[in-house]
Amino acid sequence: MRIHRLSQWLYRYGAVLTIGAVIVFFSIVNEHFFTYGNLTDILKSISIVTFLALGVTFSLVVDGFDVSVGSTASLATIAAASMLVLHRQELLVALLVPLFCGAAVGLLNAFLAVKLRLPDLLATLAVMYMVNGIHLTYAKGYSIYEGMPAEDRQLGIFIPSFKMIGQGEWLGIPIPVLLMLALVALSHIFLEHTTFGRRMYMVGGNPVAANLFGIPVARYRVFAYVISGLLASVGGIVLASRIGMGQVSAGAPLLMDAVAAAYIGYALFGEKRPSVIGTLLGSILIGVLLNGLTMMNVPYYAQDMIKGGILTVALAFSFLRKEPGH
Amino acid sequence: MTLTLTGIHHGFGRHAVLHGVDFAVRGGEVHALLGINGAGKSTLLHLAAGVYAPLRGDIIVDGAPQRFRSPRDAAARGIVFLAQEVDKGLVPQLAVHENLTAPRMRGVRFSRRRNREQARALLQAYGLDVDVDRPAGSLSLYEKQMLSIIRAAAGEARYLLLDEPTASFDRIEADRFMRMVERLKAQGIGIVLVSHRLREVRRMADTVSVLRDGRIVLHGSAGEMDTLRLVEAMTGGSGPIRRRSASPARDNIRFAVHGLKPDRHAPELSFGVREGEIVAVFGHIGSGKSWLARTLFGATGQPCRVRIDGAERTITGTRQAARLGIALVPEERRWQGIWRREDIRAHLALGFRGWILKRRETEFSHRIIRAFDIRPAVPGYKVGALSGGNQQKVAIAKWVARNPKVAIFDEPMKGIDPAAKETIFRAIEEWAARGVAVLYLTAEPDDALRIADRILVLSRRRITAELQTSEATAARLFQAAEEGERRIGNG
Repeated sequence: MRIHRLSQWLYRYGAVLTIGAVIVFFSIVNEHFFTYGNLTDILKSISIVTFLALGVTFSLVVDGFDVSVGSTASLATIAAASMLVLHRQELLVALLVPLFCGAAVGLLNAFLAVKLRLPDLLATLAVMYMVNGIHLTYAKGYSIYEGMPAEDRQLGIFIPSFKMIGQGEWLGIPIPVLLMLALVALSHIFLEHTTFGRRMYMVGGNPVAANLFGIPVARYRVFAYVISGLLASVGGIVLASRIGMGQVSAGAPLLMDAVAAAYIGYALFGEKRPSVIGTLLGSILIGVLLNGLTMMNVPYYAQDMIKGGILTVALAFSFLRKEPGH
Repeated sequence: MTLTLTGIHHGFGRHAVLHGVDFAVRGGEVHALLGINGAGKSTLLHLAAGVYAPLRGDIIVDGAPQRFRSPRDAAARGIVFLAQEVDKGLVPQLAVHENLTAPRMRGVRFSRRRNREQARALLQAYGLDVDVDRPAGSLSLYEKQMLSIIRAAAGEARYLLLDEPTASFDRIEADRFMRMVERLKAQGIGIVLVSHRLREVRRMADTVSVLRDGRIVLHGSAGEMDTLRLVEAMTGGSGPIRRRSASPARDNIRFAVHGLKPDRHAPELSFGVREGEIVAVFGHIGSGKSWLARTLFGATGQPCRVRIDGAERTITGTRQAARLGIALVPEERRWQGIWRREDIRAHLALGFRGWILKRRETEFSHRIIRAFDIRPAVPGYKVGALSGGNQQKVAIAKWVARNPKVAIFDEPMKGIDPAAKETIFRAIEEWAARGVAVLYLTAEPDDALRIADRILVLSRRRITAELQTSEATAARLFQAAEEGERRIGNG
């Protein structure tokens, strides 16, 4: 009985323990790891991925899957840079236009996956390619940056207020980290503490039963995809602000980390249930690993192996476990 | 050439189902096996088909005693069982001709053209008119059923066990089916037929056996039987059934349906339910019971005109139905009525709006758990881990918070133990006492008699009779359902 208890406990907190163990390990082998500066660096580095991962989480909650978040972030990056540099707009426009793009991508996903009932993964995969093509075509394949060659018009600059979003600090905490924590908190409160959020879980858990309870399943699914698009575009905005330019395809490498973070979160606590806190922890785990491995001089090209291993362990923890009573 | 089962005893756990049943079917004979749900028909068929082994008793095929270890063993002796879910044996992606002949193919070489021709010849011989290139998944239920039978008959089958093959057939389909049965008989195949449609049984069967409470209570040639005798044997006359004490009648019609068109041929359906009244709709499988329940809740996409508390509405979707105060407890609890991975509290508080206040919800859950006697009485318990009866209580109780005016129950007692059953009946009565108009759809006469104030009989999507519970018996319900068959049969 005792061993059974222990294994239950291990399954439940195994992934959390893993994060703790990884942090302790790096702290011991490298004296610079467990410092305020480095820890905020880690959070800063994961903030953009976390926005995308939150988007994926929302799609997972309604039993969908959004793989277009990476290219949506790229699109938002280019849109923000274009507004600032090519169209010399102020902060508000440079924020609203990318957000609008994100929402539009979300609606397109919803149209394909909800209205036309294409499988979620395939629909968002198609949209991923489309959005990628659209933003590349718009930028003619080049990045958009201050002082780029332009013959026919006067270029704008990345205004300081926009740069604040990705590079600023408040009370010693980077603004992207604050923004990330704020959105994590909002999403968490929304999904776990409102009946609207609970109904999203119900829609994902059993759409047939949800429909037979009078819950408008399609609307909830559309809503999830739009939120996912919006969160991805927030990621794109922060990315543009941090690097101070609109780099094409900048969001693509973020996709896999975002999906991995969301799935580690899905497996966390052995619940097989997508959750905001789980996603945050998953994202932190990936960030800690990358940071620690870099400090230990593990070459970047070997790091993916370790990421894959961690994902395997996290998923194994919850999928090898039998369904509990409570 | 006989398939004989003698002295069969069987049961599940402590629950005995069959008590010494003798049953035999000869080659070229149709032997109808009748009985109400739970009489043991399915168990008997499953034993004959090798799905289970009997606890006691013998299965003898053509004089040789057999001990089947699997349906495969039985099939090797020529015994083929076709369950109600006919699609099980067909591969939906493959074409009709592939489904038909693939199981009999030997070797690697495969001529598509020859295969098609063979299939066409077979279908023609048995009178099924479908394109052999269509994928099996696109066939209608009737076509699938016929295809499965033809495949069995063209193969090694010498005894066919058919469980309610005609339940979903319309009249023309049923006629065609009968012609095929004739042909199977001529071929020397012995057929065991389970059906609720006594009229069809009397036309098709040579021999009839009636099973009640695990015993054969009537056996004889079909020619000697009339409907009344069969129905009485099935229901055992009027057993002592606890009925609902008559409640003071309230006059105002709370929920009324008018002009609901079931299909092109059937006349429009209209009926009303009074405030606090429990109306049962009795109908066999295939009578349109679930269709009616789902349509009234806006789940079939067919618009439906109703009047709720005097207000005319057309229901087009489930959200609207729920907002109008209609509640549905669907038939397939496990995949339509509950969320296995969510806890009891989340179900019971599903009707709440706004912030989730855990304290308030837990208090509310405790109250409902007590009222419905849900066990274990733990709001945090995952519903997937509950027993069937308790799951059903949750599936019903999740509506309480929405305070429905009209409640529709579609066969809510499926697979539920007697104790839980009584609790659920009482919960339904309590809803009625608070003024809810209750519509209770079921194929179980005893359940209808137990709970209803008034019973409507549904047959082929028509209401064929309306009875006060005080004057109804199981036999009369069966007869009324049968009269519907006859009227349509002649028309």
